Amino acid sequence: MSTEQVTNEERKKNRYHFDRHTPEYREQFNEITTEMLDKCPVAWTDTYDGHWVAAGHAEVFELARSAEYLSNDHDPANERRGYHGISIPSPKVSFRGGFLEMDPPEQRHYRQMLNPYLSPAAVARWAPLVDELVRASLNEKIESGRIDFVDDLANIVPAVLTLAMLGVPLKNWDIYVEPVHASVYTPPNSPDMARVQASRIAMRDDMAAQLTAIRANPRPGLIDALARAEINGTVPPDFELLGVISLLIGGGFDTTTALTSHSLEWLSQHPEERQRLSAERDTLLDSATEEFLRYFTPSPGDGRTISADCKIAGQEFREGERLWLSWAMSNRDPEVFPNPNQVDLERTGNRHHSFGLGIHRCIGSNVARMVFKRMLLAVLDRMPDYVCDPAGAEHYQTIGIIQGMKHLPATFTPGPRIGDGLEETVARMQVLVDEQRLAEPVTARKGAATID
Amino acid sequence: MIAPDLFKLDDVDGHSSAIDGEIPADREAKAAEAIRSCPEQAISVIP
Repeated sequence: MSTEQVTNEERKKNRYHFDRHTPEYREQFNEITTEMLDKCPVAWTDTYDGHWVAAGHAEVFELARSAEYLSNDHDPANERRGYHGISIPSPKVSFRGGFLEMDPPEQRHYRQMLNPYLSPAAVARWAPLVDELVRASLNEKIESGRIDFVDDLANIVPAVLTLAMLGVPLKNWDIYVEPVHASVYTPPNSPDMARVQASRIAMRDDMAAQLTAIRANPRPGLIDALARAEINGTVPPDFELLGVISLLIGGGFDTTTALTSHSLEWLSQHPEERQRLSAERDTLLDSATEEFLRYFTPSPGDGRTISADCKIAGQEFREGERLWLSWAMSNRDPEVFPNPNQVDLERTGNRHHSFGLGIHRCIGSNVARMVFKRMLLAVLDRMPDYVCDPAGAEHYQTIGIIQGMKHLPATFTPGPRIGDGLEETVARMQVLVDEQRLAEPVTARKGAATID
Repeated sequence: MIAPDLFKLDDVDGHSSAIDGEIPADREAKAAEAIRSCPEQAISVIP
C-alpha cells in the first residue's frame, strides 16, 4: 500500500484520550503511562484540536532525533508556515520562546554562541559561588529548625545563579523568581492570575532594561553575547532576544527547583536511602542524580509540528500535525528501565530523556546537575535528620508544563549559622562576579571563582 | 561521566569524544557501561 492510500482512520487507529493538563493525569500518571507504553507507544488523541502523543522510549528517541521532519518553529505572525512551537495547546498570548522555538540554522547559531557559557567546563567555574549561596540560604533557617525547601532554598539558588550567568544584578532575583514560579502553577482562571501577570510584566520590563543597559555599557554574560549577536547574517530584533532571555530564565529556574524539591521529599520518605546516599556520596551521587532526573522528569515533554509527510517509528505522519514527545512517560519504559516505577539510586545504563534529545537537548543540563548536587549535599550535611511535613507539602495540581512543587516545609534539629546571611552573601557575590568577570565565556576566562 | 579516563569533554561546546581509539582490556566493562548510558546512543565500539 502506498502512503497516499492510507486513510486517516487507518493512520490514527491507535487512539488514546490524553489530556496532560488535568489533575487526573498527575494522579493516575503510573497507570496511564503503563497502559500507553503497553498498548500504544505512539497514539492519536482528540484533545486540543487533535495531536499525536509519543510515550515509548524507542519511539520518542527516534522521533526527537528526526529534526528533518520535525519543526520547533513558533510563528505567531504567520511569516513562514504559521507553526505553533513547543506548547500544546498553543498559548493565547503568543510570542516566540527563544531558540527552543526555532529550527536550524537560526537555532544552531544561537546554541553555538551560548555553548561557551554553559559547557561543563564553563559551569564548573561557578561551583564555589553556588556553595556560598547555598550556605547563606540555609543560614537563614538553620537556627530555627524549620525550612521550606522550595521558598528558602530551591527557588533562590538557581535563580541567583542564572541571573549571574546572564549578567543581571544579583539583587534583582526577587523580581524574577516569583513570576517564573507562579506563572507555571497558577491556572489561567485563578483569582491570583492578575497579580501573577503584573509580576510577569515587572520581570519583562527589567529584562528589557538590562538588555538596553548592557548594550550601552557592556558587562560580561549571556545577555552581552545576545546584545552583540548576528544570527544568520542579521541582527535579531529585541523582542526575539527577550524571548531567548525568557527561555534561559524559564529553563534555569523552575526545573532545577522541581528536581530538588521532589528529591528532598523522596529522601525524607526513605531515611535509610538518605543515610546511604550521604555516606556513599562519592560513588552514589552521580547515579542518584540521574535517577532522580529520570523518575521526577521536571520538564515532562515538548511539542513539535510535523514539517513533511513521513513515516517514523512505524507511524505515518502528515505535514502540519502536532506531536507531543513525552520525556516523562518514555522515562518509565520497562524495555529500558527494569522496575521503572521504583527509584534505584544505583541504576546503571540510565539513558533517560529528562533533558530532551537531539539538536534541542537542554543547553543548561550541566548547570542543573551542578546546582542540584551542591544543594542536596549541603542539606544532607547541615540538616541530616530533616523530616518533610506531608500536610504542608504542596505539589503543582497539574504536570502539563513542569512537574514541580509550590511548598515543601520540613523540620530538623537546629544547627549553628556558618558565616553571613543571604543578603550580605548576594552583595559579596556581586562584587566577586564583577571583579573576577565570572560571567565571561570559558573561551575568555577559564579558572573557577575564588572566594576570599 | 561514567568513564572519565576514556572520554573527554570539549571545554567550549561540551561535546564528548574518545581520548584514545583503543580501549585497554581492563576498561572494557566501563566502556560497555558508557555505551549503555549514553542518552543519544552515540557511542559504539568497532571490533
